[in-house]
Amino acid sequence: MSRPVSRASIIGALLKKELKAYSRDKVYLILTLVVLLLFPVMFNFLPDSVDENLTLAVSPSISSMIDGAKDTFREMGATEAQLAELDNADFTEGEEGLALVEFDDAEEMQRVIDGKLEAWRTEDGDIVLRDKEADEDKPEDAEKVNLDIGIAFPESFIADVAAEKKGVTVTVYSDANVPEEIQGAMESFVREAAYQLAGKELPVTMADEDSLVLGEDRAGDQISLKDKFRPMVIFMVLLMETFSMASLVSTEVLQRTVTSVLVTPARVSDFLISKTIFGTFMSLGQGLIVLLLVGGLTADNWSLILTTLLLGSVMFTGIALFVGASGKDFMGQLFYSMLFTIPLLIPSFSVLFPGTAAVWVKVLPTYPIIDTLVGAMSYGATWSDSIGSLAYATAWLVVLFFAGLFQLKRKVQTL
Amino acid sequence: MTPRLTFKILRKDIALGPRSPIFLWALILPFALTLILQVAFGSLFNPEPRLGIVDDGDSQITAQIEGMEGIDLVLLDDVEALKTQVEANDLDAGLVLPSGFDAAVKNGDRPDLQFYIGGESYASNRIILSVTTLDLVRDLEGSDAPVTVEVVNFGTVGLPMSVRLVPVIVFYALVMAGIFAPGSNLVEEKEHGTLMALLVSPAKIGDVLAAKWALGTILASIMAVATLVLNNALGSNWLEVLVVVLVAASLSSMVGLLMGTFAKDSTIMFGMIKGLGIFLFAPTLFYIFPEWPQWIAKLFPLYWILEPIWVVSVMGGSITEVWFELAVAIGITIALIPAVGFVARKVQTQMAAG
Amino acid sequence: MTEPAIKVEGLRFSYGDLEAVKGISFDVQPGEILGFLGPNGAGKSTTIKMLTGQITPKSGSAQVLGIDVSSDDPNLQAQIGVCFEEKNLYLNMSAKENLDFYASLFGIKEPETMEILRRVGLAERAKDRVSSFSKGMRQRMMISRSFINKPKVLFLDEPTDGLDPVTSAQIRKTIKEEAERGAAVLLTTHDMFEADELSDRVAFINDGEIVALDTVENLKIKYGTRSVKVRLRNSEGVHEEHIELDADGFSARLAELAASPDLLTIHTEEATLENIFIELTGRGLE
Repeated sequence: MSRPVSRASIIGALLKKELKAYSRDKVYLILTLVVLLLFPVMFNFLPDSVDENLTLAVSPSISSMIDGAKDTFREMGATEAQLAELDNADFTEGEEGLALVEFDDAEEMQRVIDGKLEAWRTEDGDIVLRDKEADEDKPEDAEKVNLDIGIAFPESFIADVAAEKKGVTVTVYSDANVPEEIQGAMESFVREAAYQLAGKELPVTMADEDSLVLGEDRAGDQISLKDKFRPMVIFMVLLMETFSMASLVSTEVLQRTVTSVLVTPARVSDFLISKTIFGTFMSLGQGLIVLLLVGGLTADNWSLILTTLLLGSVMFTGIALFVGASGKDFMGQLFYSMLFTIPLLIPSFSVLFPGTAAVWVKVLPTYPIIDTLVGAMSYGATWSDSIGSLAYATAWLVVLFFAGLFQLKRKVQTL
Repeated sequence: MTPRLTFKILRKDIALGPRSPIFLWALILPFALTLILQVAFGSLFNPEPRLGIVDDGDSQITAQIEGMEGIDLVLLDDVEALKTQVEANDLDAGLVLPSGFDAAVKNGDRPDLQFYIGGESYASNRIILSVTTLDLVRDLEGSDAPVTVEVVNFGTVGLPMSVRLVPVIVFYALVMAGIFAPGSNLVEEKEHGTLMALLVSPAKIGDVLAAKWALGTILASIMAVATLVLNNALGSNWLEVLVVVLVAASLSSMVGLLMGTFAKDSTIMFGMIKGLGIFLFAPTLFYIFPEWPQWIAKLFPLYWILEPIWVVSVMGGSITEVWFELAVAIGITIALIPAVGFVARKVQTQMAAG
Repeated sequence: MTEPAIKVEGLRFSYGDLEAVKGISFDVQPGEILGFLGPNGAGKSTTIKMLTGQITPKSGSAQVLGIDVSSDDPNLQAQIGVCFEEKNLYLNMSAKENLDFYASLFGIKEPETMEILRRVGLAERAKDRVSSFSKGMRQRMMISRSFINKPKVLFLDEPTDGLDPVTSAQIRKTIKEEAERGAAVLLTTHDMFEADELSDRVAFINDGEIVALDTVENLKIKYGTRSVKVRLRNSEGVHEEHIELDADGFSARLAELAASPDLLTIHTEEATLENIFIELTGRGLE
């Protein structure tokens, strides 16, 4: 029989076989399902807000200190209108990042910081104390407030400082685990407050606050851990698929089934094309499923993100071909898989650290992929912002993909 | 079981070890993990505020900040570079101290304070760096502060993250060397048919399993000790440490043996390790997060080997403090022996049937 | 005379410095079974790899169905069937799935999968995964796969190696059927009984060279000796004597032994291919 068979139908037949082999491999099927389910589930438990405030306990309350200082201010010539303004003033205004919890009783405040009492904030904003040592019931509909540091002012602090009295002492109570820089900052804060109350202006001039901030001011709108992990989760799914694909390629090589295919009208190129299509499809498909589950696509970024995912899928397929062709047996293939994937993972962790990645991290092939995903999902990056990274990713893709093809072709031809 | 035959098989396995990728991984992984977890992740959990300074006049402020704990200081030469790094969130804030700044402050000239804040810096870091800087500027001026501030600390300082990560690294050393190495070694012998070849010699299945168990125990012990040394967690009570490490390695190796006996091929073995991963790994999390209810950790088998290592080696405690945990670990190890034997006999029958 | 299905002239191949095939020449007609008989490492499998396009000959020429094997022409593979020495089936697929997949690579829309499985006695296991098959069943699968495209040329590399006599007989039967259908069969084996049983002609290959090529009968006549084996009882038990038919005094000696009261049995002996191989090469077939 001499029947010309089209390349397309041969590749189609090979793809059907790939899907069967994959779906029959219980281990990787379960792993795929676990990854597709577990990652999004774990993702949902990540905090989606950032608590960037320092929560500080203060005793006595500011209003009581102000009341105690009114007579002194009157003696200094303050009018009733000015005193009324003091009552309405918010002393934490301008101090973004500082949240005050006021205590009338300094002793109670100490016990909270010492851990003997717990502070709970009700829905109305009131603070309720719970005696932890007596194992009192937890207050209902209330959220625990972690207070590790507090300042105990003397009752007449404002009055004494305003009157320039000597020997005024303020005590900062702190849990021993509070970092030194925070303890130091609280000391500085108290001193500076005292200087201001004493009317001593700063020995320097400060620029307008708006011009102090460089770059987009994200105070109150920081990127949460959930947002940081979103691109990483998708990236991890692509990477995990590399293990499965490498294993399938390795099995064909080790069991010599590829040889049996190559004595039919199928060519080496058909074999490689089918592996490429299948690997890319599996990676991309899983990446898309997880993307839909964890969110991140918007009307502005969908084309950029999908393109990046496609580039990532092809890149990882190339790596899988290389790894699958390299091991002499399953364990050897596993060793190569881990050897390659660990360095490729590093850029994805770099997003958890603030600032620019180190130069050696930027050189890694997966860096442009994760950089583009983070830019598009967390910073609203556009095509023009990402074109450099995409070009770099494409260059690496070409190198890795053809290295994988070459390695597999070489292996197949020497079987 | 014949010790002489067991020893011969063990010797063969040790000699072939360096040719096995898993063996190599068991050797490399603790080093790699120490590097990654201690260097990279250590700073993730306790990030310090980052301040950049361009100091053209050898200011007293720079010297004082350099002497402070808890602020990550970077000195730069160029103001533009400073501003670029602040904007890129490589620094939380940047301070420019031009030449003559100190003198100008002391003279009461009220020079401009060039202080930049990164848009992505956390509000808490902004406060810390700004009030600290202003306080230093006041100090430079030489005026007496209107108040005295006293600091009173409660409680004791907790363990740094670098110490709390040690059980994680030791865990991986035990799993790779103790579970994966002997387990996969046994599976490979089954796959390649060499196990059958051994069993038609005077060696019995008990000799083979004993040799694999010994291989895992020795390798895991060495790697656990190496990990503790690398992380400066090996106390002076090294003899007690060796005992707890040996018990840990024995249990890990027995678990590996059970998996290797059960798994038909390498793929299944690998799948089992991956599938059971979280179950094995879970107790390490309770050392990273000590505020979690610790009783939950005791539900996991590897807790009973991690806790003695933690107490005796990391914390420098006495072996008598963990006698109960060691007894449970030894009990689990012994209890697994009949399970391994049962599965091994089943497998032997299957192999003979072809 | 019809054009040979396989035509090889001066074919050579080396693995690095080791010359595995040293300029062999032969041809195979349609419907003929040519047995390549030789020990392990003689160059049999290497020859098949060259002819099926797996490796490229270093020099010489080889044509299968008029197609140069070096040309990488897919028409070559479309018309051949190959049964490998190593089992390379998809273990996670059933018998039928393996064959259907194969057929699809040849563009066969409605393959006669069940018929082929019936021929090799695997029809009842058609839906079972190959991983559950015994060694003999897997070998039958290998054979059946090589038939799926009704090939004009069959390359069978040690098709019955390590199999029981019943399975081996079944496989030999199907091979003969293929030859009767008109396929040219190149069969490699180190089993002289199989070569004797199946082959129309046999090529002895040793150390990469063909040392003899002829029909089995001619080889036996040319290289074998005709003899009679006589078994006699003696004081120590049983004694055997071999008398060559062509030797002087054969008739007289035979008559003498036939008249002996100690005579137990008389058998004619035919030269075996193994004996001939040893005589030609100085080594056995194992």
